[in-house]
Amino acid sequence: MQDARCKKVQGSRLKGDFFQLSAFSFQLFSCLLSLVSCLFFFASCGSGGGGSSGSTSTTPISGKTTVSGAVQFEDRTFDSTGFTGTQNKAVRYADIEIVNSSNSSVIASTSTDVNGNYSITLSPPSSNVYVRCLTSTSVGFSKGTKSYNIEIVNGSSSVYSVVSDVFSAASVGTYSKNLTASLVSGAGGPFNILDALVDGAEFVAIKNGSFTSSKVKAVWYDGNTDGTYYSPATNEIKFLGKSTDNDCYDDMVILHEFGHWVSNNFSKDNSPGGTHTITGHYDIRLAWSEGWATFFGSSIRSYAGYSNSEYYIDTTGGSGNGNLLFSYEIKTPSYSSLATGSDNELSVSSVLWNIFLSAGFSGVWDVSKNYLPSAVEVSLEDFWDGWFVRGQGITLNPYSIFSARSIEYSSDSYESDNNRSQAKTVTLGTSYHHTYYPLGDEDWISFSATSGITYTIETLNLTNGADTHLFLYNTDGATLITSNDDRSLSGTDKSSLITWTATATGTYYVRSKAYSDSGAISTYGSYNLRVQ
Amino acid sequence: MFYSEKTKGIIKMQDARCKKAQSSRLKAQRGLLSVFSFQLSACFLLLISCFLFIASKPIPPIEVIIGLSKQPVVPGIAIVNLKVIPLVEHSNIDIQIELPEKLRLVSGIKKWNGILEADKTETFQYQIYVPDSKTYELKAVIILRMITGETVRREETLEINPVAKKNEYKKNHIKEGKDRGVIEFKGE
Repeated sequence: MQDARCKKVQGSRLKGDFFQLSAFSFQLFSCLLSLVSCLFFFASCGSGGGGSSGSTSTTPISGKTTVSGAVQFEDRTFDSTGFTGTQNKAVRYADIEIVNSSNSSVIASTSTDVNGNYSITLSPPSSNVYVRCLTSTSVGFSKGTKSYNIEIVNGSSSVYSVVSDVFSAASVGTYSKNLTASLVSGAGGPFNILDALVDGAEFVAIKNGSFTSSKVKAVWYDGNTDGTYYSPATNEIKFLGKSTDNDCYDDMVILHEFGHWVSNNFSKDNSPGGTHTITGHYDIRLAWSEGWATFFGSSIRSYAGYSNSEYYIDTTGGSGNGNLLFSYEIKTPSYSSLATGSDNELSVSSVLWNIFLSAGFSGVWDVSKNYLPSAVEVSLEDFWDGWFVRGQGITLNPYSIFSARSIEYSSDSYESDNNRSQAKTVTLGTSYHHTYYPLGDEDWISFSATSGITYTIETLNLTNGADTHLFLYNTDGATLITSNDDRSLSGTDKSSLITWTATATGTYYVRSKAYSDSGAISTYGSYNLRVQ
Repeated sequence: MFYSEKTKGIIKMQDARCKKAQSSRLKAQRGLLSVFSFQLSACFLLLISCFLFIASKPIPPIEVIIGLSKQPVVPGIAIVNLKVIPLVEHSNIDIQIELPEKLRLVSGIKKWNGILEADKTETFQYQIYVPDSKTYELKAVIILRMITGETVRREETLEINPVAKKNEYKKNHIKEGKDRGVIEFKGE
């Protein structure tokens, strides 16, 4: 039976080989035909003059019909106060098509180079054609000249383009066609999104050694009120086109969302998503995801040599200078007194940016790509762990960078207090600041209780993602009286509260540990412990 | 767990000796079905959560919602509600309504500044005279000054007498291909 199966497999393999050979032969034959037709074409048209077509000047160059030119888009410059002006910028690596205007068929294609220049030979020459430059990079991708495939489309997945006038390229010569996607036409915006994403892809390709075959698809259209976000479900990025908030020229907003895309395609992201403000404190997975995205966007702009790369800038998109919605910088960072903890995205961005400034990007990328995918719930805690696991601690101990943002991945001053015998005696009514660190750390305290008196044992001021779990033990330090995970039944408040009336006078023990059962997100965290 | 009549009939046909085996088989099937149902539910939940999770862009710590509480009978009065929710303590908030020339503010404060309680919704109401059924756009501009010194700005617009818009293209949008969509702008 196995023999029969093997024979069948061999048979299929042979068929496959035969098919491949057939395909190869066909390709060889096609190439030969093309060569012959080219030679025939040169022979028949070689003596033809340059001629001109409409406003296009032509110069005969060795019997070829070539269309070439440069493509630019109108870019908007900005700083932390909003827009500051406009400038023309090359459209890099974008698809160029020569289109037959009579039937809309594409008769030749290429892509622009790093300077926005293109050159394409028409074979055979053709009349009534026009040049089209698209907001996509698929030609270079399919030809293997560029490793990334980017596409900017509208809500119906139609790609944007700028086109030349229709001209005749029926004669031998070079036809010059320069294109500009202007701001006022509405074409500049999608080309700016392409430009920012090309910056992003170039950065990843350099830092990672390669990009990915996954397409970077961005959706933007004038009037889009759906929101600016990255969706892991579709692997697409969407950008607002509202009259009061249009993101097509907000490079940092574009690159922030690209940061999410990179995280999902090269690392791991467990963010529960949702609305988030820059000064708010949230789930540490959300804070990591958003903090990373802003940091990554800034890293791209820093690598590409832009000024103000440490600024996140969001404008209304309105015409003229200014039009700032808000901006913040991630080095100091802005809102410094509010940007604290591993549960705040600005704090996370600031930590990563300062590590980047001190130790470069390679360590951050190494941890992100090679360590974080193995984490259960990705947050700044995992980045910290990964930094040392991946040996980056030799280059830089980021302790002071973390502590500057009140992120305490270190033992508290009451250690060692990891069991009953090490329990620290506390004074009733006094709060004691603790951290859960290192992994699995427990904090034990003891207190004197009087029979008939009711006591409140609680954790307060939870920061850095702390999720406390309290256990009250009898005077033997072993018999559990009661425990509490979350003070609120809904679980939204992760602090713990035990209210208990002593039945006998004596010394009782409290064990505090990070919640570690099903659904646990953090392993570290800071909190205060109080008995009263 | 639901079983069809046919399955029930088959179960009844089993003799006493088979009943025990059948019973364990049934339990196993039920177990498998439960596991399957659980997995299905888990997959469904995962799928839902995947679709729910979106990574939206950072926003400043202030929420702004603007809407009409009363459609105007033109010519007549439109009642506009502007809800502002500062999400942090702040040192000042400027709230300003910008009206097109033909609209007239009948009541409500055009420019307001002060301090609002964090995480609490404050509603500003405006009565605006609308002269005709043309479409007008009014804008609310809110500037929040943080206690740390920085300012953030939010702008929201509201259309009065909105008209259903066609899928308008720019003047120089000339074509959308048949095989794939291509929006063409004149580039010269």
